[in-house]
Amino acid sequence: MKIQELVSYLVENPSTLNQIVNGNASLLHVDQVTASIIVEGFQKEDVIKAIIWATAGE
Amino acid sequence: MLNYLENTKIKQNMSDFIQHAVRQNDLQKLLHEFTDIKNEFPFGQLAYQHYVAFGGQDKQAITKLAAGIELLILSADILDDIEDQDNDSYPWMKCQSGIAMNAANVLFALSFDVFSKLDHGAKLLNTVYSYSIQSMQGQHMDMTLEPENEQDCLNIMKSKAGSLFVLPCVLGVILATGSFEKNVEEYAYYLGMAEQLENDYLGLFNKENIDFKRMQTLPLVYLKNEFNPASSDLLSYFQSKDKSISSEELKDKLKKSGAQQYVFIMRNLLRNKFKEAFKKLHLEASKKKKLILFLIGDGEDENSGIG
Repeated sequence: MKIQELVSYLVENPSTLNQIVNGNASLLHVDQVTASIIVEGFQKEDVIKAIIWATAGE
Repeated sequence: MLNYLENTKIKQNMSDFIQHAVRQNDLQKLLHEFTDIKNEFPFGQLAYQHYVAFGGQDKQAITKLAAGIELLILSADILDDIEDQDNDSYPWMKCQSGIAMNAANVLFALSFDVFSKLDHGAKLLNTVYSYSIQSMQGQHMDMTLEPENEQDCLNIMKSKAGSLFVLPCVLGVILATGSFEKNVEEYAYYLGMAEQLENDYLGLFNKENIDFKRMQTLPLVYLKNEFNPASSDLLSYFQSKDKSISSEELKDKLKKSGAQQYVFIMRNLLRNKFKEAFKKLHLEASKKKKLILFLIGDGEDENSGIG
């Protein structure tokens, strides 16, 4: 499966993402864990948090 | 977790090693300048946390190891900045590159001396050698190849950055036990790559330091597909000298292109592989919990199923 193509498709077709979230559609050849990570990638606003281990000594 | 005092001790050890090994005054002064800017020691901390998790108790020994690791990482950082011609404000970018390169070589050699004098020195040295060579090969690939696809990019990330993340983790374990732990290597590669991906994404926002020819990172590989107009706009932006776009606008474009979501997904897939590999670690549950909290404990869902 090509994640890049999948992401670009979902960017252009947000309704498909909604259908996946609602359980009316699924991603072919994608396991459950990967599918939930993909959905989360579109639902969370902030992608990158601080690098935890780099600041742990503060 | 290392407290302020322990960080201070790592820094003091780094300074002492330089003081004892380097007699040429000007070079010694320069090396102190380079090390003085460091107040955080994330790679030393990785070694420290693994050492403690695997039963190590000699604080002096682990502090020396952590200091040696930080010297080695600093030498790699200096060389990386020079090789990439990064336009940053670090002291090694303000002196002649030949002088800075020589100083970096001293730090690299010095770290080997530190490792050789610790318990299990031969094993530590062998391990450092192996991951250093791997990282240098990754650096070479990064400088000479243009990754054509996701897998090319992941391979370079694994060699260049992943190996330097694995190094302190496995060294901490070797110092504590005398043994190499394959499981640690496996999960550390994944986490190191996830961290590198975050850095690469954050690097897109660094207006001072964008060299498109050198930006062969995963988000760029995604954008180069030009799946949509936003991707094409971003490619033009990164290639142009005009960096007047605000961070918010840039973030918005990255989201419209899908690059933001792609990075998030790839980073979490790597973190998920990290968690799966971490589960296989043979350690007491309390030690595993403490270690994973240090590695990725950020209030997300990291503790589920680990133990």
